[in-house]
Amino acid sequence: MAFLGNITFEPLPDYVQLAGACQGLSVSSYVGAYDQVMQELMHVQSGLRQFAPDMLFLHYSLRVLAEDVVWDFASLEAGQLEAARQHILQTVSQAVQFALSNTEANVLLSNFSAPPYWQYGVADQKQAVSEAAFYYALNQALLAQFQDEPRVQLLDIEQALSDFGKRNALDERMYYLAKAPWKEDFYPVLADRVIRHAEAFLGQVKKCLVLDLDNTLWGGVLGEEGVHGVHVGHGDAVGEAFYDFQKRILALKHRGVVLAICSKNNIDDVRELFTERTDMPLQWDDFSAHEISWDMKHEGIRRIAEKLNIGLDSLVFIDDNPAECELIEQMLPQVQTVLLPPDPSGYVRLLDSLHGFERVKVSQDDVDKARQYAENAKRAEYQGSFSDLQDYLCSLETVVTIHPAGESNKLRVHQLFSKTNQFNLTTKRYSQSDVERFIASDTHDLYVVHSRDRFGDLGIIGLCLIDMEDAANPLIDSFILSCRAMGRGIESAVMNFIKDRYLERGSADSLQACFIPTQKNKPASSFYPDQGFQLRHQDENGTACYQFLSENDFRHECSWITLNTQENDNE
Amino acid sequence: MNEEKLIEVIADTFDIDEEDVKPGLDNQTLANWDSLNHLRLVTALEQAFGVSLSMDEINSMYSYDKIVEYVGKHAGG
Repeated sequence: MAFLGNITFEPLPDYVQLAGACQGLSVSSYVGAYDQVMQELMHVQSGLRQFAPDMLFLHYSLRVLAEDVVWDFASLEAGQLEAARQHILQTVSQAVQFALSNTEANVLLSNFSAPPYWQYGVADQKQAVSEAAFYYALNQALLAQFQDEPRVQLLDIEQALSDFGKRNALDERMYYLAKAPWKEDFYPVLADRVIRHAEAFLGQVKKCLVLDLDNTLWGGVLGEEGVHGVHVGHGDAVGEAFYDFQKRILALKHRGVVLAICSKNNIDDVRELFTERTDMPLQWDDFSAHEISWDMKHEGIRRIAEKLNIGLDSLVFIDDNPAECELIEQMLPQVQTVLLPPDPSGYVRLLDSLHGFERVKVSQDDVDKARQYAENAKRAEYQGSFSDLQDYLCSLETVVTIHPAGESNKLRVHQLFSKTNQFNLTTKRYSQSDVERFIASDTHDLYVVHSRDRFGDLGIIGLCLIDMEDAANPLIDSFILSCRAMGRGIESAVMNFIKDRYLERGSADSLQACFIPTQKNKPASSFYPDQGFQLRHQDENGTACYQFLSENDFRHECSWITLNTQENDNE
Repeated sequence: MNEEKLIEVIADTFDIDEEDVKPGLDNQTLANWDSLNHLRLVTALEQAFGVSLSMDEINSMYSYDKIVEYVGKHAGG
């Protein structure tokens, strides 16, 4: 990570390193020369360009960038203020543009914090150009400018400072002495936010929140206090705290986090509670999996992971009981276990403090995910009514659409590269800027795979990256299918498309492909042989290279899938 | 003022042996006593002794003897 701007950053990099280590990220840092942003970005030989950061933290202090705004606001005319506003925005956006074009880094840009007191005092609100409004508009302009740029995130330092308290965070003395703006105590807070953005950029995210019930979703024990005796809802202090916690969990669901219950309870009691207590924000159907029994909780959690077809390391488990948390930590160390504080008034804050649910952007696909997991459960039930697999697959009426990746889906493409573990043949974790490079490239074809069936729209569930460097022998660089689309022949339909596209309609001699084994992609290990590819060689790590010659007419039958293809990205 | 604690903080900051922290030590004799480490030292001293130094003091505190004088003044003894 590189730090650029017009302040002294030390000791922030040390704190960022520490905050990163707490989340399993190893961070090395480069601090650019003081107030040399453009020089660092533009010169090929600059320290920054040599360092080649993955992430760039850009922070401008207005005390240097626009001293007149900071100290002379009251004496400036409206026209001068407008000129100052434009100067600030132009400087910042120029730096960001150079960072995007001259480095591979994702950019984390600080917004601007307003001063704790206005130059017009309380009369500021009655001025033609209010100082408060000026700062508000400045930050609004930053938001608008970078909203659609996936490689840029704003670090809301105004929010971080107001949460911590400006008088606790700002250090005038250190600013005068060393141009270091913050007090020591504020650096861990800031570093924590920086790392949240880093995790979101990296796609290092949790998919599912598993919740206990008694004293987690409501106050009290259902088996003792009964459906109307447990505390949740307005009217008493404890009930309100649980009510708000449920609301916050619901907000996570809207962010695309899948919810599940793991509780020691009588399932009939819990069913009755959800039927009766329609005043609760969370309802039965908000959860994609329900493990309610007197079994040990680690068994329930394991079943949840199996049912949703996700890894245990994608789960976060929350409970109020230290013994249960201890058990899960012992039995399932891959699961992130979170113990609730003793008092429910602290629950929301604790949930907000978790990093695993940060995403660069919440796409429609994320929001649909919980629904899709529920649909999958229905598909599984439906499958039970068929004795013949092919009858079942035909009845699903699966439609697969393959088209080149483009502007509208590049975020989802990056997500698939960064998050898919199981059906991922090479597990190459390409960055957002790599994705953009492939989309623009003449020597790469990047296809996305979209699917729907009688139960609903699965969204974009796969991708395929073809390296055309050797046009006569294209290489399948990446082949990825989301786990929720596995087991119905979609991978064969995509492979048939590739074979037809390059060997029949194109005039390639062969297709080349590799399988690189990881701890998680076993389900894909026999994919290429199954599709009629011949093994060419295999190294000691298990990496296997295959080829498929053009005269080979092997195609897997997948007549139950309707395949649509588009050669151009029309979206 | 606890001089042992003072020596410990200085040795920690500059990553040197405690026995080398003694009267006469200053930024001329210690290579890594640069402005950045100086501010780390100030922060560490203020946290250890619960004191707040003035900018003038910080700017002229580039020796062991001055540190003892200024921190002692604020911390007492």
